[in-house]
Amino acid sequence: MNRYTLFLVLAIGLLTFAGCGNQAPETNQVAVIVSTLNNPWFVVLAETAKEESEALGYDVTIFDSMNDTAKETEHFENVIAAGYRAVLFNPTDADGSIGNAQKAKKAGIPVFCMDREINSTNAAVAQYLSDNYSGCVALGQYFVKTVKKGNYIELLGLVGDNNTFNRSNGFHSVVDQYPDLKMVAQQSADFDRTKALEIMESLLQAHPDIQAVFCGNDAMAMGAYQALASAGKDKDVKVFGFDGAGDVINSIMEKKIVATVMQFPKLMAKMAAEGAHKYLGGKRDFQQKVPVIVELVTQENIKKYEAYGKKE
Amino acid sequence: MVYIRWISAVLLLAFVGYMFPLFHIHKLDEIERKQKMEQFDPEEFSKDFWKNQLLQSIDQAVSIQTLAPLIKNDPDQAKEQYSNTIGIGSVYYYYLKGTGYVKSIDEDAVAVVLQQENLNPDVRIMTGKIFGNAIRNGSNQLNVSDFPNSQQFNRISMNLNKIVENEVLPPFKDNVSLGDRVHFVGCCEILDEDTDLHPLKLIPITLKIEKGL
Repeated sequence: MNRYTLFLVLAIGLLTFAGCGNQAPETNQVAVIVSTLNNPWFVVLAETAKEESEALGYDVTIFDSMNDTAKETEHFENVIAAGYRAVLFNPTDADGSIGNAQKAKKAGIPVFCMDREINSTNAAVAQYLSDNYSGCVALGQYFVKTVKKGNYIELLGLVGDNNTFNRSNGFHSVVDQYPDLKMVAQQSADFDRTKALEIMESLLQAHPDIQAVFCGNDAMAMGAYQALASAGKDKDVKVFGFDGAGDVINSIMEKKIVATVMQFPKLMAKMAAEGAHKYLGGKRDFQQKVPVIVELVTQENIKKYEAYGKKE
Repeated sequence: MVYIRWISAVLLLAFVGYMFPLFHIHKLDEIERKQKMEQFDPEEFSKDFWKNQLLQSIDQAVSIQTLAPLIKNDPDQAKEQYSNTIGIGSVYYYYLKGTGYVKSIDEDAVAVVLQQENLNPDVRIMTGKIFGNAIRNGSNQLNVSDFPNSQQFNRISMNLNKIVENEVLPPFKDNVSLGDRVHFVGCCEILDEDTDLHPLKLIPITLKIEKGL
């Protein structure tokens, strides 16, 4: 074999090898990579995505990122190496998770985001996202109507998640126009019930004279309510949440929590599972971002709702 | 053997080019859009959008003379034919234009009837604090998928509402009187068909008063 033939064999071999980089091995596996399973709302999201994909004929594994982008990266590396066919993805961080979705895309694995957004329009195939801003515009208007005047505290979610600020911005787009309502503290409790409890206990020491608490999700609303109950203030302070989680729906019925905003995790999970199935069947024209409507749930209309959705 | 030499050279070049590209080709409009988004100023974007896109699109608004009877007789057909939606859900929007007579004026709205003899208002022009996404979504001129970060998309709504509050409403509120003829263009958000269709609640984009009729 002369050197030109050797070059030829080498080039063809390398090109074939490089081409293989974009081909995932044929399996029937779909991955559900979820930001956390330490919150019942995300358990519903992940489990529904799993059930819907299984119903479409796939073998599904759920990966818990524990709100840690590094752990999420490990999951993506494993999923790519194992040749999964699609990822149904609930990201941990709007910016920090883009690279993970891009890696999967490069490996030929389609990614469909559920509930949480990544700040990119070309890494995921599609993103099914609650319209958090609109939900909190409605919640803000109800807050103004029911609280009327006084001091309030805001508990924010994870600062790397766009949902946190879309909710906060929607709320403030309304409430900030009413000078009789004054925010005396705003602090992140990372969407976590235990952190919300601890932070609320501490904030109540500094700001005993409050009339309301706006929480960026229901887990924090339950934590805040628990702190208020321990301080004997639960009858005087109105608590507002966001999600439509089971314990908050029950608490609205029992008139402990004033209102929440119902998201539809089952719908988003179903859309992502079906999107992935259609993609694998050859469809390519997907709308990149699909807002999913949310609905205000109050003590007046609570009968229409149940945990994580509307009654049939 | 000469052809093998040439083929191998071409393949080698292709391989080197593939692994170590000297340049990347991107669409110019994609680069411009990316740069715009990186330097995104929601206030400037909204002002520019209002002037150069929204006001140029008002011919696309459906006439109230067409829409109102259809909503009354066949609301589903009206929705199918003339509404705009964004995403998945029950909320929808109308991009609307028309002319009517001022029937009543209160703190938050000016009620308008299409015929002077009508007793109930056909449209309430909202003149109080403006919230939500009616103009952004109702006018159907912006696509959420063009915005990498939904916070940018939402800040546009906040700024469009400010333009309505600061520029559209003050001259109208200062001059409007009962019986005036009003030409309006705007958007209506239909959250609840039981309360939002009769009358339609219009967030105005343009308002023009004709006096002395």
